Amino acid sequence: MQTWKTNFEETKQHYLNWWNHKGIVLTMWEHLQKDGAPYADVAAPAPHKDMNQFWFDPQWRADYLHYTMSRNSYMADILPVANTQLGPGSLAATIGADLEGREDTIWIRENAGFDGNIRFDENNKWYQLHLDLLKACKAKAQGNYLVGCPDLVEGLDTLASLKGPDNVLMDMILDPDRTLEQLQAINDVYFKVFDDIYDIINVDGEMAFCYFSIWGPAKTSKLQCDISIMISPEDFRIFALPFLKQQCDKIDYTLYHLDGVDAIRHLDALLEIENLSAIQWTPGYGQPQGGSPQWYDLYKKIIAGGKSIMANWVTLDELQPLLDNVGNQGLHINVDFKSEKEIEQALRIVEKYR
Amino acid sequence: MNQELLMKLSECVEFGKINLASPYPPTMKGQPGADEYTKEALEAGAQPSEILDELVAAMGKVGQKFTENKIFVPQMLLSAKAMSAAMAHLKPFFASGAVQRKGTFIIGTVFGDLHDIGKNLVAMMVEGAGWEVIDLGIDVKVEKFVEAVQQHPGAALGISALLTTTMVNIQPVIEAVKAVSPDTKIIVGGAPLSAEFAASIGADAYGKTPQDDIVWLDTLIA
Repeated sequence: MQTWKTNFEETKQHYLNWWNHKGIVLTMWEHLQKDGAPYADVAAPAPHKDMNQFWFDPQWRADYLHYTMSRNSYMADILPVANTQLGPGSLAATIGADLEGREDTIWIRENAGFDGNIRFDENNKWYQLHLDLLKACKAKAQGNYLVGCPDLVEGLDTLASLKGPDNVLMDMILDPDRTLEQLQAINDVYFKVFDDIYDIINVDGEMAFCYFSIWGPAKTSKLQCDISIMISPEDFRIFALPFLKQQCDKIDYTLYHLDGVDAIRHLDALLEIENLSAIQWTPGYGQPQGGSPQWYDLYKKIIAGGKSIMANWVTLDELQPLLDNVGNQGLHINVDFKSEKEIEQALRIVEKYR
Repeated sequence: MNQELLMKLSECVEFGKINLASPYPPTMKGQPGADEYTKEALEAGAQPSEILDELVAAMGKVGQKFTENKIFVPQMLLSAKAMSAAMAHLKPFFASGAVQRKGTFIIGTVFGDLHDIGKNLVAMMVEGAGWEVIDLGIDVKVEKFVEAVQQHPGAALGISALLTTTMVNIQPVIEAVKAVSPDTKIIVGGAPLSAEFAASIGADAYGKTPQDDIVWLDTLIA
């Protein structure tokens, strides 16, 4: 595959090593604009008429992404991946929740008429939008870049999007059997939708995710349970762990998004998932970010537990101390790059550790 | 007799036993809950104010256990539900003035933000602490906050945001509210906020947990 990223083969090797708990991936969260001429002479699309067009018009969005992808930098291990996200947790929309596009994000609106049954309907308009958007982007990409998998999200977070977090949290206690049935039904839908998406976006079996800068030579996904910051370790083991295990067993390369200091209490359970490949740490606003020495012990624990790590929003001056203290095996580092010059600086540091 | 009923009621709230039908907690399955015990206590002649004091004390224990990570949000929600079931029986006494609440607390999630779990938790816990709560909901515009403050003179205000992109919308609300009602006390909360941020935007206080809100509100009437 010949993409606009000239060093993609080298980056793929870095990713393969990283999934196998070796080496370093140096990248950033999404993209910055490249210096110099674009890869191709792509015209900017007409300005979007409204936020509905901006988010939910497959052709307009494919044109827009094609334009921006032609101007992004793919230095270091930055991936040539079009961000096709349809909201943080768009799987819920395929089974009854609603999507609302606003200036800064797409909101998942819970289903006021949710009757407790998880039903998947091929004709669901949001499911169809997932397919239409990905097909439009793939057609536009012409192999110059990958089309990312939307941020589907699963498990308790998806159930919360359907019936509200308060109801999910109370039902875990008041009606645990029904809750477990619903979670299994959500996982079943997840695998169906994920496979449908994979069939569209994969290139020679390879795929990438829209966020979290992950690529894999086979099925690859980010997993999460953000609502876990509100539940006990015991409840996490009952209501989250079995379903995460199923995902890790069926998907070849998996990254768990550990979000927030209160989620750390579930780390021991996560490390027990044999087929989970890596864990990403999001400290949260108001906390030191991913390059802070405060998290070195957390990273060391994850690595000692047999998983690779992803550190986010690392600054340039934190990069070398991070490598010195955490080591150079199984690190995926997202630096908050502001320019290609900064990428060059970071590469000079990282090369000494490869 | 009343004392025994009040003690049972207190246990129901502390451990989240809503009513007879509720299966939780397993150790109290098949027993009456806060709903039944409140009704029974009133019928037995307990004073509504006694009952309220008992409920508030029980919710105080719940808040403390939550702060100490001895219980988590699901358990706290069920305690709040048990509290609500009991409070439903006291509503006529609030309306008649036979029982006084501590004051009024207006709460809402700031415009642009559709999250409600944190706001709901605070609303339930503050109500359980003896305050009347006016819940404006989510995605609340500046004008709606101002209107609510004007409709409820003397009320304290709580504003919630869960995103870094929406926490910046709190400041215009504070400015607008303080412009029409400078004495209104305002507390802010939500995952991305901090005490420093709260101070920088002119809030009077920052609540990290629902218990922080309750403690702060109590200082306003001390």
